Amino acid sequence: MAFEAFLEALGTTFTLPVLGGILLGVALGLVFGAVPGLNAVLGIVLLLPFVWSLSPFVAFAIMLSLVSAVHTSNTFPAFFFNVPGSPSAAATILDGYPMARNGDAARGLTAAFVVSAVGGIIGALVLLIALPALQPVVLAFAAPERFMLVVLGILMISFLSGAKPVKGLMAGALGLWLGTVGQDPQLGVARFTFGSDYLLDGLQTVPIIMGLFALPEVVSLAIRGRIAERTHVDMGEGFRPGLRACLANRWLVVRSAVVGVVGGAIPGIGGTAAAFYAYGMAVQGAEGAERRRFGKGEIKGVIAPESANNSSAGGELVPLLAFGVPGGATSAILLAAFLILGINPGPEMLGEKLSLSFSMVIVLVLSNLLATGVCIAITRPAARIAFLKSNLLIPALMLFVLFGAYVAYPHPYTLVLTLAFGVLGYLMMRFDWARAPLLVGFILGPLAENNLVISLSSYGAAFLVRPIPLGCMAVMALVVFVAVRRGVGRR
Amino acid sequence: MKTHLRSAMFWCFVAVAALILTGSLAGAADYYAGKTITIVCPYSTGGTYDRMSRLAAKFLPRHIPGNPAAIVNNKPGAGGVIGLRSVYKAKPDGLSLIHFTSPMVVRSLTGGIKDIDFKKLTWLGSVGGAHYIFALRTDRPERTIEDFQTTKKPIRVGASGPSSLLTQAPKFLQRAGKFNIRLVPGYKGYNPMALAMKQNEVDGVSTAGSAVRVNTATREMHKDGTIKLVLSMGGAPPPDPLKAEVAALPKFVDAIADPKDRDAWVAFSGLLSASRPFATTPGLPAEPAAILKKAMADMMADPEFRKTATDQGFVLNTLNAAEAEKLILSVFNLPADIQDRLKVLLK
Repeated sequence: MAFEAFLEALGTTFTLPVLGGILLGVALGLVFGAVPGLNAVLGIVLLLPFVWSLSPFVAFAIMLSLVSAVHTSNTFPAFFFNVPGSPSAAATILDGYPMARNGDAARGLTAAFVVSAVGGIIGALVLLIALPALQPVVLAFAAPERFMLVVLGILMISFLSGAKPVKGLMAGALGLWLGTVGQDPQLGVARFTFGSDYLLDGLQTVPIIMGLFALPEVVSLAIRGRIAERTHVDMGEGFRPGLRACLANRWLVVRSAVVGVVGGAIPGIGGTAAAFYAYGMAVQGAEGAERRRFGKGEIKGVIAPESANNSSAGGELVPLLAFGVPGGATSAILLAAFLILGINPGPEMLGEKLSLSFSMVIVLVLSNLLATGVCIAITRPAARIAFLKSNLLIPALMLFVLFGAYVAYPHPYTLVLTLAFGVLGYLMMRFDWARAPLLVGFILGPLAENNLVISLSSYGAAFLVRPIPLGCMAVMALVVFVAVRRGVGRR
Repeated sequence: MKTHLRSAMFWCFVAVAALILTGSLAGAADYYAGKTITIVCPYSTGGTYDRMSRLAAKFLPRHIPGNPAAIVNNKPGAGGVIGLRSVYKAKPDGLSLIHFTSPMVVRSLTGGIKDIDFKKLTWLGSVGGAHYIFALRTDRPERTIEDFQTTKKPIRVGASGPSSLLTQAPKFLQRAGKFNIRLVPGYKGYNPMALAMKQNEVDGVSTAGSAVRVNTATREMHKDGTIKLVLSMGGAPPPDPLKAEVAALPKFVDAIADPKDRDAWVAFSGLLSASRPFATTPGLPAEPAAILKKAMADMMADPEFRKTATDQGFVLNTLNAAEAEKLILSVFNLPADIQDRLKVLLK
C-alpha cells in the first residue's frame, strides 16, 4: 500500500501544475528569506487567499517550497549584514558574518547552502520514514521535558559561545530577564512595562535581533569602509572549498539535521532554538584552536545551524500531521491551510491520505534542491556585496533593519526599541561580551517560564524526577564541569 | 375622474418613492465609492481572527454600495487593546472596522481596560459563537456534577492567558460551580492544550465543542473514548455532529447554587454566543452605520462566504448587529452586585 501511495505521489508531483507551484514557491521563498523582516509566516498568510481554489497538491507545493526556500535564502543577509533574513538564521550570523568579514563569504555561503539542502532532505526523509516512530517522541516531551531542554539550551550557549563563560552566563541571564517583560503567562500581571501598552505583549524578537546584531555593524562598517577586511578575494575558489568543508563535516551535518528534526518536532521548541542547539553542540565537539575560532568565522559554526534550521521544516510537520498540533509559527499557518483545503491532519495522513504525505516529502526534497541550486548560482555575484563601499551599503542596511523591525511589529516604538538594542549591542561588542547568549536567553526564557509554570501546576515538584529531566540535569552538570575544568586548565 | 386622480396620485407616489430610493442608493453608493475600508485585526497574522478579517476584506465590499476597497491592518499588542483603541479613537467615518474577541469587554468591567467604553462602539454583527463544553479524560472516575464538586483529587484543567475564554470558562467551573479543579495555565491556545490532554498532563479542558471536533488530537481521543464530554456549559448552538451528545449532558447552570453566580454566568455565556464580533468607531452617523450593518448581515448570509469560511474550519453562528450588541453588552446591564460578583469570579 505504501509503495502504491509513493508511486501515486510521484505521479501527482511530477505534473506541470505541481512543478510550477514548486518554482513559484521557491521564487517567493527566496525573496521572503533574503529580505529581513519578511518571513515564511508572512509569505504563507499572503498566499492563503490565492490557494483556496487550487488542488491540495499544488497548494502545498507552493507553500512548502516557500518555507524551504526561506530557510535557505535567509543566509544571505546573515552573512552580509549580520542580520538574519528570518529568526531561524539567527545562529548563522555568529560565524557567517565573520566569514564575510574575512573575505570568505563564497566558501561559507556555498557550505551553508549545500548543508541547507542536505538538512532539508534529511528532515523530509525522517518525516517520511519516521513519522509513526516520532509520534511517541512528541508525546514524551511534555512540559517538564521541554522546560529542562530549554534550560539546557540556555546553559550550553552561555558556556560555549565566546571564551568567557561568566560573561556568557551574565548575558544569558540578561536575556532571560528581558524575556520576562510583558504580561506573565499565569496571572496576566504586567512586568517591567512601566505602564506602557506597547510592552504588554513583551519585547519583540525581530527588533531585538536587528538592534543587537545589525546596528553595531552599521557603526563598525562606517569605520571600516567595507564588510570584508580584505579588499580582494578569489571568488572562483568559493564553491569547491565550500563543498569540501561539507564533506569533511558530513557527520556534523547529519547530527545537526537530527537535532533540527527533533527540535522542530517538539511543539514550542522550533527551528530557531534547534539551530542554536546544533551550534552549541558543534562548539562542544571542537577542541583547541578550532574551538577558539568559533565566533570568528569557523565554518562549522555555519554548517551546524544551517543544517538544523532546514531540517526543522520536516520536523515541524511531524506533530502537525500526526496530531494536528503545530510545531511552530510556520506550521500553525500550514494547519490553517490544511483546513482551508479540506484536510484534517491526523492518522489518515498515514492511511488514506498517505500519497499526499509522500507528495509533501517529495516537494520538500525538490524545493530544497532547487533553492540551493539558485542560491549557489547567485553566491558569487552576491559575495561581492562584501566588497562594496560603506557609503553604498549603510543606507540599504539601515533601510532593511528598520523596515524589517517595523514589519515584524508595526508600531513607532519598535524603531526606538531597535535603536536602543543597537546601542546595547554596540557596547557589548565594544567590551567583548558575547551577544548570542543574550538572544538565546531572550528567545528561550519565555518558553522556560511557560513550561515551568505548567510543570509545577500539573505535576508539582515531582516533575524533576521524570527520566528525561533527570537526563538533562546530568548533561547540564557535565557542561558546567567541562567548562569549569577548561577554565581552570587555562589558568 | 376620481379613478384618474387616484391613479395619478399612485404614480406620483411611485415616482417620489423611486426618486427617494434612487437618491438614497446613490447617496449610499457615493458614500463608499472610491474609499478604502481598513479592517483592523488586533492580533498577529495567521490566527483565526486574522483569517476571518481577511475573509471579510474579501467579501464585505461586495455588499457595500460603491464597492469600496478593503484591507486588513494587523495591530497586535496588549491582548488586542492597541488595535481596538486605534479604531475606538479613529474618525467616525465608517472606514475603520475591527474584528476581535468579545470576552475582551469583561476586561473593561474588571478594570483591565479603562479608556474604552464598549457601550459606545458601533456594533455590526458577529460571525461566530461557540457552545462551551467540559471534556474529561475517561481515566478520571468523575462523571456527574456532584462528582466534580466532591472529588478528593483535584481535576487538572488546562488554561491559557488570563483574558482568554479558555481560562475564564474553567474559572467559572471552579468558582461558581465549586468544582474541585486545579487550573494549569500557560498553554498558548487550544492546540497545545489538546496535546497536553493526550499526554495526560491535564485531565480536562473547558472549550468550544467545535474545537474538540476540529482539533485532530481531541477528535481522535473523543472517537476512541480516551476523553468524554461531561458537561454542557452553554453559548451558541453546538455543532451538528455533537448536538445529540451535548443535549444529553448535564447543564453547568444547574451546578451553580448561588443565584448571583448563576446570573453572572448567564450574562457571561452571552459572550460565548457572540464571541466573534465586528464593530466600528463610536459616533458613526446613521447612514454609513446602516450601510455597514446591512452589508455585514448580507455577507454573513452570502453562500460563497459561508462555504469559504466553513471550509477554513470556522463554525458560523451568525448574529446581526442588534442581536450581537444585546448579548455582548448584557454584562454591563447587570445589577451592580452581580457585576461585582462577575469581577470576583473572573479575577
